[in-house]
Order: sequence, then structure tokens, then C-alpha cells
Amino acid sequence: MPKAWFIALGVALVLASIGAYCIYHVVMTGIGAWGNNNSVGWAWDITNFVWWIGIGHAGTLISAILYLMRQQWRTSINRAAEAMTIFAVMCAGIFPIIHTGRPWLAWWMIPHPNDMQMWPQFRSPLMWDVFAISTYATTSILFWYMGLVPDLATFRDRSKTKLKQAIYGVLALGWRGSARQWHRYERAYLILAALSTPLVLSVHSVVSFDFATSLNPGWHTTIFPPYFVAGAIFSGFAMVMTLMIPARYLFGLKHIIKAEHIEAMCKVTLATGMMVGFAYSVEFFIAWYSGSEYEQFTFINRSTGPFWWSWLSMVTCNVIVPQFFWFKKCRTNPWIIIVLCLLINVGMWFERFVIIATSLSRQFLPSSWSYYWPTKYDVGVFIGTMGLFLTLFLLFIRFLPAVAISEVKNTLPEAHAGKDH
Amino acid sequence: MSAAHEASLHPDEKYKAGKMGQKVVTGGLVGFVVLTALSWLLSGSAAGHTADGTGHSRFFYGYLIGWTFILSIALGALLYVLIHHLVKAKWSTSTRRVAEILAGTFPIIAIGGLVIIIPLLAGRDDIYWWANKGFDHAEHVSASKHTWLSPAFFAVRYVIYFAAWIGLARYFTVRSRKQDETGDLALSKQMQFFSAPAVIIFALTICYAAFDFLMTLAPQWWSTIYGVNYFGGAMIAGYASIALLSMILQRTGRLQRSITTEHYHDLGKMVFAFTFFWAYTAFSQFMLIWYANVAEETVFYNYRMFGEGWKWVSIVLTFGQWLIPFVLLMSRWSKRILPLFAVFCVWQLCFHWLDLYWNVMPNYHWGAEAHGAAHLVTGPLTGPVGENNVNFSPVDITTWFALIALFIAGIGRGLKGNLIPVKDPNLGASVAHENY
Repeated sequence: MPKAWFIALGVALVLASIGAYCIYHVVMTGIGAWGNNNSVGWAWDITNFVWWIGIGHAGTLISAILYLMRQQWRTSINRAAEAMTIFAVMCAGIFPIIHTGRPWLAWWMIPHPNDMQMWPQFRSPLMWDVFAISTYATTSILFWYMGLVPDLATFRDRSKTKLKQAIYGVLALGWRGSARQWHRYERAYLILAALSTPLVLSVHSVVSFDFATSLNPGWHTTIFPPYFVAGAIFSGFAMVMTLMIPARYLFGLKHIIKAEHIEAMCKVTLATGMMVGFAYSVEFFIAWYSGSEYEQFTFINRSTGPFWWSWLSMVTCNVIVPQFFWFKKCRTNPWIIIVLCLLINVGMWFERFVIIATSLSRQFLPSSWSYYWPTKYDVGVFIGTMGLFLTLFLLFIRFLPAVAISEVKNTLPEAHAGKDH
Repeated sequence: MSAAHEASLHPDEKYKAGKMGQKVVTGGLVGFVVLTALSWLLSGSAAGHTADGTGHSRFFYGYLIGWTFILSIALGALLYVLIHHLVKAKWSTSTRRVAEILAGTFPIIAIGGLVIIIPLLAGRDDIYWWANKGFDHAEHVSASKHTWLSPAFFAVRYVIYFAAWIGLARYFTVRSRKQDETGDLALSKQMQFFSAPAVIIFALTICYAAFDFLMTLAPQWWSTIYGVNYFGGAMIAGYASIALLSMILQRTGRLQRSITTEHYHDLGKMVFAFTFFWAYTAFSQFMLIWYANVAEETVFYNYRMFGEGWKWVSIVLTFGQWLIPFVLLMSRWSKRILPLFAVFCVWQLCFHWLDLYWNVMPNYHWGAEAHGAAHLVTGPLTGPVGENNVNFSPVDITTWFALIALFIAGIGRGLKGNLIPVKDPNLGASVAHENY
């Protein structure tokens, strides 16, 4: 086991502990501990929430849509990407739950018969989020776990200690690899892939509804759903590469996660990045074309107002940075890829920040205009979710099959004797 | 090497177009002229807009619907070619020439579009309210719209769009046909290399063309997703037309062995996928506007949801363009039983036309009100909602058929030489393609 893994886990746990302390403080004190104010009522917390949900999207795209399109290169990365989806959704969920102010009552959002005369407000897009994201989490976990079953059986069979055999044996659900089991497995996998495909579109579309159903200039625009989906996949792929490139070196996976797979991911990142840039330009154009002075003000304010620096970071990282992926050299050099992907993740965080904080700080009523500045607890909780994500990812990569063994075997040339595909 | 590619085709395979193209061109042009003349006569003698839905404006509105319909097919086919090269696809090689033929219709569509552009430049306002004098005095119209919506600037953009589309289609078709002769692999590389910037040009032009040709019919209204929604419809139309033209060519005894059920199955999957995508964009536009309930935006749906007759068109469209094909195309068999698949392709094309009809025709009724002594036209989507009837006219159909005839003439121009890229290095893999 590489020493680097222990060091990384140590760092991740420290970050997670910082987050745990900050969450404790925020819950005990109230969300006034954050920098949110009356004008900017959604700020870092919702920015982080949307960012984390977006990070998870690469996993679903890779596991579902690329599967339906028979893109066999996906098999080297799908397992890890699916795991990232689940961990990212867990991190995302923390923010709105704390934001409710009384997280111990968050279960009230689930519609259930009760004698409190309590019922969720189904007309609120925030409730749609609850259903969209819980469906997403459930389906992703099912898909991920089902894919794991044959590989867990391999772990069970290769384990040397009784304890490991028992644990992996229970997790493998009695998998024997019979033809009948494989037949059912393949059918179930296809059905789950088909069910997950609309989820790739729906989850971030519903997240975009949180904004787009409002009357707020800069929020209320019809291109938001596909634009959010493209942005989510963009940031998700950047995150997958950020983590998988070091992982393939540390765990000796270079012959499985090949350079051309990384290159393909760079191309997907470039394509989705261009879609995001395209959506920015359409928004700008329509703000001008519409003649609505509020829309026009919002877009001018974003680029030249008090939060100009966040707008500039967003455009630089999301529109300019991915352009480097046009060059093969940038798609094949791991250091360049990691730097570009980190910048893209920063850019996508700023995109949500621009949408949320900038728009809220300059609404219709100038008397309520304000500025937003995060407190150390905003930063702490965010760092904590980073730590949680990394901890879970490191544990996953250590104790579970990080590459879909059975699927990779299927794509090897030996599996197709006499066939050219 | 080239011999090996040709060997991937069955020795008995007929893949030469022969002289069929000439007859198709003649037939198409005659059909276009006759049907256009008939439509003009049917539209009556009154000039401009009339309350009962007759008049020459009706002809122009019908013409615009038919024209954007055939344009969308060509655009869908063009993207098929671009994506094929961009992702280095193999399965789509054997139907790629069919797509290239469909995308080769841009020059004739550009000429057909002059029926819309020339009257506009001559100062007529038969279609676009912003060409009307009343527009200059209208309330709630910003300076930006006066800049963007001037006939001359509109015509300039028209030239830019078609220069881009004709240029893209020619770039790929010329190289593809050249490869038929030389078998040069460098041509495939060239096309792959250029496909990425080509997709960007395509995305920008289709989106802004949809804004220009369709969204500006109601210049008071806007929606950022509008271009994406037109793109979704264009992709349905493109894939359905590729499948239909392939079937028609196969009925002439050609391409019997190189286009198989497997290709139709995959084309069907794309029709299904874009049916979903189109509905997704249509829903995004509708739901967000309905929910936010801002008067400037809801006006678009107000006339389509509550206008007499229009509400039924909206309901029929929801079921016809989305729900019914969505459920039925999910099955493997509706894509693999070819007569059934052909029905679905025609079905989706008809409903795609209805979608454009639904987008365009409610703008036909222009309100008017007195401003002192002057009687000003207040433009589309003004006046009482209830009076905005569908007022279906036979002209709406005859103009559609006229444009289809023009499109067929355009297809005829491409029906020459090989109907399949015979020396494409991926042809063998494509012919042997199997869904598993």
C-alpha cells in the first residue's frame, strides 16, 4: 500500500474534522455564523451545494449515457466516477440541510402522514430538489452497488483472511457467476442505465429551477436547465480527472486507465466547456436584445460591479482555460491536465457564486443592495466537505474495486476471439 | 487498400445513383412552382393581414413554416455529418452520403428563402411586424431591437448563415466524394480535423437563425432556450429524413445490403433521443415562463394556451410530438420493423411541422389601435386572446408541400455518383455493424 495513501488520508481527515467542527458551531449557533445577510440570503452554502451536485454528474454520464452509446473506454473509469457521484451528492446534501436552520427537522421535507398538520410545499422548486436529489442518490447507489457485485465476489474469492472473506462474501450477495446470474445482471444493468439517463438531465435541471422559476434578473432565464447540465458535466469530468490522474500513478492503473481515456475525457470537458461558454453568450445577447433594463443591468453589474473579480474568474476558468484542450500536448501531459482541471473546478464554483451572490446583492430595490463576505465558518464547512469527499474516495479506492474488473475483462481483445470489436 | 474497402460491399450491391437525379430535380421544381402558384391564388387577393386568416400574408406565413421545416431537415443532416467525423463514428458511415445529400440542399433553400427576404428588403411587412412602420412608434421596444431588427441587417445575417451552412456542407461533401475516387485516408483526417470548429459554427448559426427567422415574429418576446428548442426539432427531422431517404433509395433496388436494420435501429434511437430532448427544451421554456408569470413572457403562451383552437393544437402537439412517440419508440421493434419505423419517421416529421406551425402561426393576428388620427398596428400577440383563432387555411398545407417539393429538387441535385462513401476506411465496419 503506498505511503502516499496514508498521508492523503491523514490530510483528508484533518480537513473533514475542520468541517465537522464548523458544522457543529453553525448548528449550535444558527446560520448567522455564516456570512449570509438579508439581501444575500443564499451564498456560499448554496454555491457549494450546486457545485457539489454538478461534480457528481460526470459519474452518471459515464455510467449511463456512455454505456447506452457502447463507449467501451468508459469501463476503466466508470466505477470510480460513480463512486464520486455518490460522495459528491452526500457532500452537497449537507449544505441545504444545515441551511434549513434546524437540520434535526429536515425530515419534515419528506411527505409522510403525521398529526402535526404538516405537509411539504410541493409548489416550491426547493421541494422538487429534495425529490430529484434523493432519487438521484438512490439510483446512483443502486447502479454503483449492482455493478460492484461481481467484483466483490472476485475480492471474496481472492481474500486470504476469514474476516475479509466474510465481509466481501456478505457484500457479494451470493454471486457465483453462473450464466443465469450474468444474464439477469446484464438486463438489470441496461435498465438501470436507461433509468439513469434522464437523471443526468433532470437533476441539474431541477437545481436550475431553484433559480430560474424566480423573478430575479440573471436567474430567470429559460436556457438555465440545459446550461446547468452542461456545466455540471464540465465540472464533473474535471473532478474525475483531478482525482484519477494521481490515482492511476499511485495505484499502478496506467495500463487500465490509459492515456487515450484521459484524452477522451479532456475532449468531453472541452465540448461541455464550449456549451457553457455558448450559454453565457446567449444570455448576454438576449439580455441586450430583450431591452429589459433589469436584465441588462444584471449582466453589466456582473462584469463591472463590485463582484467583477468573481465574474472574471468564472470567464477565465470556464471559457478560456478549456481552450487549451484543443492541443494534443495539453490533453496528454498529466501536469497540464491537472492544473487546467483544477482551474475549471474553481471556475465552476465561481459560476455558481456569480449567479447567486452577485444577483442577490443587486436586486430591484437599491436600498437593499449589499455586499457579501464569507466568514471562517463558510470556508470551514466547505473545506470540511472537501475532506469528507477525499476521505470517502480514498477509502473506496483502498477497499473496493476501483476499476470495474468484470467490465474491463469484457473489453479486452481476448474476450472477443475472432471478432474485431 | 482501396480495393479492400470496396470489397466490404457485396459484389451485387447497386450503389450508383445513375440518372435518377435529373428527373427528381425536374419533378421537384415543377411541383414547387405549381404549388406555390396555387398557394398564392388560394390566399386570395387581399394584401397584408386579415382577421379571417386570408390574404397574401397567410401565404407568406405558410411559406415561412414550410421553409423553416426544410431548413431544419438540412441542418439536422448537416450535424449528422459533423458529429460523424467529430467522434470518429463507424456505424454511421453507410448512411453518411444520404445525410450529405440532404445537407447539400442549402443552396436551393437559400434561393427559396428569397421569397421571404426580398419582400422584406422592399419594405413589405407581410411576415415580420418589425418591418412595419408602426414598429418605430411602438411602446416597450428598446433601441437594441431597432438595431437588430432592421431589414438590411437581417438580410446580412441571412447571407452569413447560408454562407456558413453552404460552406460547411460543401467542405464535407466535396472531400467525401473525392475519397470515392482516390480512397485517400488524408481526406478522412482533414474532415475529422475541421469537424470540431465546424460544430461551433453550426451551434452559433442555428441558434441565432432560430432567433431571427422565428423568434422575431413576436419582437416583444424572448426566450434564451428558443434556439436550442429549434435545434432539438431539427435533429428529429434530420434523423427521420435520413432514415426515410435511405428507405426510398432501397426501394429503387439500391443499397440493399449496405444499409441494414441495424442502421435503422440506431437512427431510430437518435430520433427517440431527440424526441426526448426536444420535449425537455420545450418543457423548460414553458414551465419556467408559466411559473414565473411575467407578463412580457407569458404572452407567448397566453395565446397558445387560451386562444380559441390553439389550446387544442398545444395539446395535440404535446401528445403527438412527444408522449406517443416517446412511449412507442422506446421499443426495439418500432425501430427495427421498417414499415413501422417509416410510419414513425413520417409521423415525427408531420408533428415537427405542427411544432413550427404552433410557433409561427399565432403571430399571424396583428392587433391595431387608434393613436389619434393614425391607426397603428400593435403587432402580433396583442389584442383579445379569444379572437386569436387558428383559422386553418388550405394555404398552410399547400405552401408546406410546395417547400417539400423544393427540397426534393434539392435532394435530386445530390443524387449522382455513388450513394455510399465507397472508399471510406470505416465502411466495412459500418456495413457489418450490429446492435448487441
